[in-house]
Amino acid sequence: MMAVDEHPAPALGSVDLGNPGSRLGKRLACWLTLGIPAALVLVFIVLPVSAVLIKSVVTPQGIGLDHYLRFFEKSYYFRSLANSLTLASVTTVILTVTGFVFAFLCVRLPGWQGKFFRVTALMPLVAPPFIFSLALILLAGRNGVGARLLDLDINIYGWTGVICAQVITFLPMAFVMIENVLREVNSDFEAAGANLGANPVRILKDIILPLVMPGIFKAALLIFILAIADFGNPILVGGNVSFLATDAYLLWVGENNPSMAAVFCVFLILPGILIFILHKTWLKNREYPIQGNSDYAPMDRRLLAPFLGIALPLVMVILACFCVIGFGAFTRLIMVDNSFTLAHFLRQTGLRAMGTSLVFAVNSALISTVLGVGLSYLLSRHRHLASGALEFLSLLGFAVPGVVMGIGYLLVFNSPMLALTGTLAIMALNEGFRNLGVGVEAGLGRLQQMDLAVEDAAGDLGAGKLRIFFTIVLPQMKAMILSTFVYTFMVSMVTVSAVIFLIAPGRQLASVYILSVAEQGEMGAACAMSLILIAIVTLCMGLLSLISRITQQNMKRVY
Amino acid sequence: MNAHDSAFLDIQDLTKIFSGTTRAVDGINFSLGRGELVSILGPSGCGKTTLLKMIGGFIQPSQGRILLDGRPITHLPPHQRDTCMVFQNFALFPHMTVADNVGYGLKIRKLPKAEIRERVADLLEMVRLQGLGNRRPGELSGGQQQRVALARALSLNPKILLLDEPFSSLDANLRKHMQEEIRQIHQRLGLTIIFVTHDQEEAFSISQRILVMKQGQLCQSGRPDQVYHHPASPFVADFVGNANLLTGRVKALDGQGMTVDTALGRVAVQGGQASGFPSGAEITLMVRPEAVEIIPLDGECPGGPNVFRGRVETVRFSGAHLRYQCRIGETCMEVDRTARPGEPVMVPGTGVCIRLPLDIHPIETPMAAKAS
Repeated sequence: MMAVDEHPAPALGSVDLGNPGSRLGKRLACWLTLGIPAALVLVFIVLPVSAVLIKSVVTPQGIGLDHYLRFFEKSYYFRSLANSLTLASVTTVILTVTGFVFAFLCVRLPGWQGKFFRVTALMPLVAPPFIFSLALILLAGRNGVGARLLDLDINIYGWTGVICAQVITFLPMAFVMIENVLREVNSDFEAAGANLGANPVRILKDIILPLVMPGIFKAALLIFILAIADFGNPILVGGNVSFLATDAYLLWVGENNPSMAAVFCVFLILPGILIFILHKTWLKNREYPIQGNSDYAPMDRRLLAPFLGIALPLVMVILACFCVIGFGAFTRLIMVDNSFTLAHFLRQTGLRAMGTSLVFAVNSALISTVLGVGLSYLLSRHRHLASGALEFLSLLGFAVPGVVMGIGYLLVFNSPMLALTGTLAIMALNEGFRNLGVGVEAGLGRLQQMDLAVEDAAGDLGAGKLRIFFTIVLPQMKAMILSTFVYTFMVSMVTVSAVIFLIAPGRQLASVYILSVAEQGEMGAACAMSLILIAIVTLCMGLLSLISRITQQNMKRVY
Repeated sequence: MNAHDSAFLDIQDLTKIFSGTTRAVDGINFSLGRGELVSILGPSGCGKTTLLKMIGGFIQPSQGRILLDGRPITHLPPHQRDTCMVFQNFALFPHMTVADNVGYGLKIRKLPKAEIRERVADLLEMVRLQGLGNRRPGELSGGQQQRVALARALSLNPKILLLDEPFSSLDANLRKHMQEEIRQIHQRLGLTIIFVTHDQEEAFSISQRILVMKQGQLCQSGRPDQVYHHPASPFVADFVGNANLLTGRVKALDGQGMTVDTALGRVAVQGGQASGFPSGAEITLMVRPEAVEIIPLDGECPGGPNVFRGRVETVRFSGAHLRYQCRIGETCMEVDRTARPGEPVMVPGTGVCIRLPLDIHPIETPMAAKAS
């Protein structure tokens, strides 16, 4: 394999014949194998995002910052930014605390007690991300359970509602990230602290918190980005308060002001970039190896009381949310006419939307999986100058808020050359490329674990690159591919923020349908559809855990 | 020093049962004199670390008592029992400087800042790390981290220092060095030290007394040479160094010793322990490889007791000595011979005479072994 040194990225399926013609062919094939996915990523991720950026600086007079100036001049534009930043900050602070509390309880309480907090913290994951807004309206809205039964007078619309809904919606992410890092901490650190006379509160403050701070910080950054990009919750319970993501949508749909919508999009992207830089600089020299033993001392009573004081009320709200959705789905008109009915499940429009959603989700999951996995293989096994950039760009769709991708797609694919708007295809492409990063990252992760020598051995026995990929590599990635498909399918079933821009008449999706009927006050239909989505997501999660259990068992059998 | 006279640390019937059934530590009794340096030696999973952590207060015993200096400490939290532990991986707080690590306990005791600074400087000087107080643990070598852990453990003047396999992550040379350092600190401070290890050489070289553990139980306690030459069970014999174990039945007793029927033939045993067994008892004879004599066969074997004829099966060179594996009938015996330059090596197949010493150590064969 002399030629390999000269060609760091040998082509798929090529046979080395050692003559110049084949070398040229090889180089061509090499460019094609990376070129095709690169072109797709450019068209379906980079182009839409760039289109938004360009739109925000194009003025009738040429290129300029006029739109930005107007953004800062008009207080009602600027206020959206301020509101979004405030919202994200408040949600982040609350969630880092509650996420830590849940994670700590889960890690430190024995047996079923710890599991209880784990299950409740993860429960919101099975619900489409805006369902808690719906539930909160039903619980604490003007005609909600709280108002009717307890005579409570809460105005759920506005700050309270959005913050509450976001805290519940993003609790699983905060919990999982903080739990992971808490489980890593060597229990000997605490034992050493206790040995030197530190009490449990002191140990928490002096030792545990500083050690897990990088992990908590990462969780906080993720939550901040999610909270800023969140679309469903603000649009449902935001009330009169304006936020960036929802206002971008209203500017586009309602006011037909694409330039200002584009400016809003830029402000939606900026925090993510800033945070990425902050992340890199802050974490420098702050991350220590902390792994080790995990025989943690039992939870101390001094800590237990305040921790439970934070966690239990939230647990009750989460459970109440699920109950009220279930209740609402089977009653004629919740709290007004509580008689049993199945009518909400049998609505033609709803069922049709559910059908469209399934087709849409399968297609977009196929795109994310096939392209993501293929790309991950190219990136990991054929290191190339451009591959680093390609990996970054493929993750971009994942990182950019959905609203931005939605508007970007409208800007690009509304033109006569690429007239795809109004088709199910554009919706599936949009969602598929937004989740491309899931496939790429999962694929890279799996490929990293796999022994390269196995592929070399196959090459030694005479298998070509293409054959190696299909007979050696793919079989080893089966479980990961299936997981990626199920996961991206699940995400696509409940997505709202980007596709809401792309939905054409007659192509309603279940998730968007829920939003629209909820806005019209038809809570029963919204609940019923939500319940079906919850069932589908739960099924998917069950499948995912089954896949991982089977692979783990297989691993044990092999090694 | 006789440990039982002063009984500085007294462990009584200490037991730890994990998840209802696993007896990690099973009814252990022993006591320690003030200023003793004791090793707890055993294979991994024998419960030695659990025992140490119960003494340190990190694990609550399921039953039994711990008395330190006459005071019951069984249920006290770690910091109230005047013990301090050096953890296997040191458990230095990675986010604090070396000085903050060493001074953490003093800070919690609310000592004045100036005093803390002074004490920390003294401690760092003692472990020869003066000037490194501002470094982070991650910037130190393994040996330096070890010393910081030691200084931190000594900062509160513990009555007992507990060391949990403290050298297992160091390379061989550094390990020897640190062992010597522990000995010196022990001598200088007159500190009582309990040292957990699975490395018998380490236990021998460092400690005044060794406690050998197996499956949660104490097998033997004694000076290193006692444990080596007079192991209490075949397990100890085998775990502590290499041993040839011969099972047999006591045939005849006389004033000087006994004869034992073994697979080799009749073996004469003399010396102090040779009279403690009744005739007909099943016993195990333990001979260290270096105590066996090997003579190239030159026609006939020399006369006298305990001489057997055999053949070399394998020979292995390990620097200081040659280890011959010899077969005598159905029995294999290991024989060590000091490897001198120029000495001819007996190749496999060579006929040899094997002479066992007369002062073979007899061990009562445990019930389990009898059954099998």
